[in-house]
Amino acid sequence: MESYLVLFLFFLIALVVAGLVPNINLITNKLLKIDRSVKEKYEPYECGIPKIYPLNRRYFAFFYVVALVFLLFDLETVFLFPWAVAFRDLGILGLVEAFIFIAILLIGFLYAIAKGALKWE
Amino acid sequence: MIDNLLSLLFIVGLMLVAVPPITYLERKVLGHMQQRPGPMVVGFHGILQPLADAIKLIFKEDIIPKGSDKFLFILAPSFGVFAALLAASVVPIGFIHAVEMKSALFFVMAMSSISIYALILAGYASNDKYSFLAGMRAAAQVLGFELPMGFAIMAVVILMGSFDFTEIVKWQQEHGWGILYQPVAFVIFLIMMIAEIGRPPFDLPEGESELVGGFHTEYSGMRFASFFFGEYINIIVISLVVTLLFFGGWSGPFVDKFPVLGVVYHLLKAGFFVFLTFWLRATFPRYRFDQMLPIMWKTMLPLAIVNVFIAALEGFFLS
Repeated sequence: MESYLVLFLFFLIALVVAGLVPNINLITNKLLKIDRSVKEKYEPYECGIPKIYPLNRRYFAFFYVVALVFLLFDLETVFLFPWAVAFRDLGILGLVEAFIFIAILLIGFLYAIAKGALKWE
Repeated sequence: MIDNLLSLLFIVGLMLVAVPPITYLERKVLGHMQQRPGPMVVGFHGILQPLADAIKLIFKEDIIPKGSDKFLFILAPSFGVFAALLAASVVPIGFIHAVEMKSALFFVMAMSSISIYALILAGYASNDKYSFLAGMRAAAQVLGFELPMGFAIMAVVILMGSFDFTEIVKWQQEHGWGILYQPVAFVIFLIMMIAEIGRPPFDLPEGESELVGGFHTEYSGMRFASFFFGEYINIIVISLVVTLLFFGGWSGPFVDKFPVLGVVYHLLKAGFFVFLTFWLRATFPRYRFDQMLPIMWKTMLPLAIVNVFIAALEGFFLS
């Protein structure tokens, strides 16, 4: 219980530091009265040529199939972690069961590769 | 309780104070590796360079580009620092434990994984093509490193039977360093930790030769610096973690009599890994975007899964 109290304190400190450090410039700009607003300065970087609005945010994520496979595998690692912690108490039965589980995982992975899910085209 | 609070102060202080000297050391080490002196002008051998940088950054004008998502733009750098600091909270240094948690390793993994959201948010919010591409790259990078890293950690956990760092170090004090039992897990973890903290050769979201500045193209002043602040804290934390998992953490000669020596050993070992990140930066060229995912999925992941088999057998015959 106590240690979670300390964690909460840490949380608050992190919140304060993270809130302050990136925003120091707001304070210093006020103090020094830095305000030389030139319109062009606030344009997003574009090598000097005029910017075309609005930015077309469409982007073909080549890796979306990888993302789907990732989701599956990430969930399965979550299943495996409790096994890893309790490994010593489970004995031979736990070992064999987890081996079967990981073997199925491997077969699934090989299937994904064979189907070309991880191909980068 | 008092101990914990003092440890908390120590860890927060270490994270805040250690970052400027590390940036200086990085530039110096990189310079000497490339046969140039590095920073030399400000102070003796440029030792005051970080201070000069900080003063410059603090007094810069704060620019928020037109058309950007203002809330996310301001949130992104804060989020990076926040996640990095929280990751540091559960990592013990020698006898200094701020937060004692049974699942500390899991917590560190979670926190250092979500710190990559800072890059994705920054890329999305900037309203800039280069930043946006960098954000997408950061998203792809998460897909790459998470799984092999998880499996490498799993191998260690199987062997040592706990997520608690204290237990892990205790196991290593009895049986010897983790790297002796799990060299493959160490290599996988090392590569994945470089990818996780986004250092070269896996600094794809930054990619200054292709993407101008990557996710921080539109940032200026301390907001810009905050990304690196978070990144360097992440480097320190992950270096501490890798020593805890594979190099016995604070174990070493005479630690029983003088617990302070444990802190020194631990920081020295972690310091080597911080140095290693500089070394890798000077040595390897950046991976191409289309090379990264195949490397992680087709080489590292099968290796890591097979390694879990081996670790299970090893753990079974040891116990």
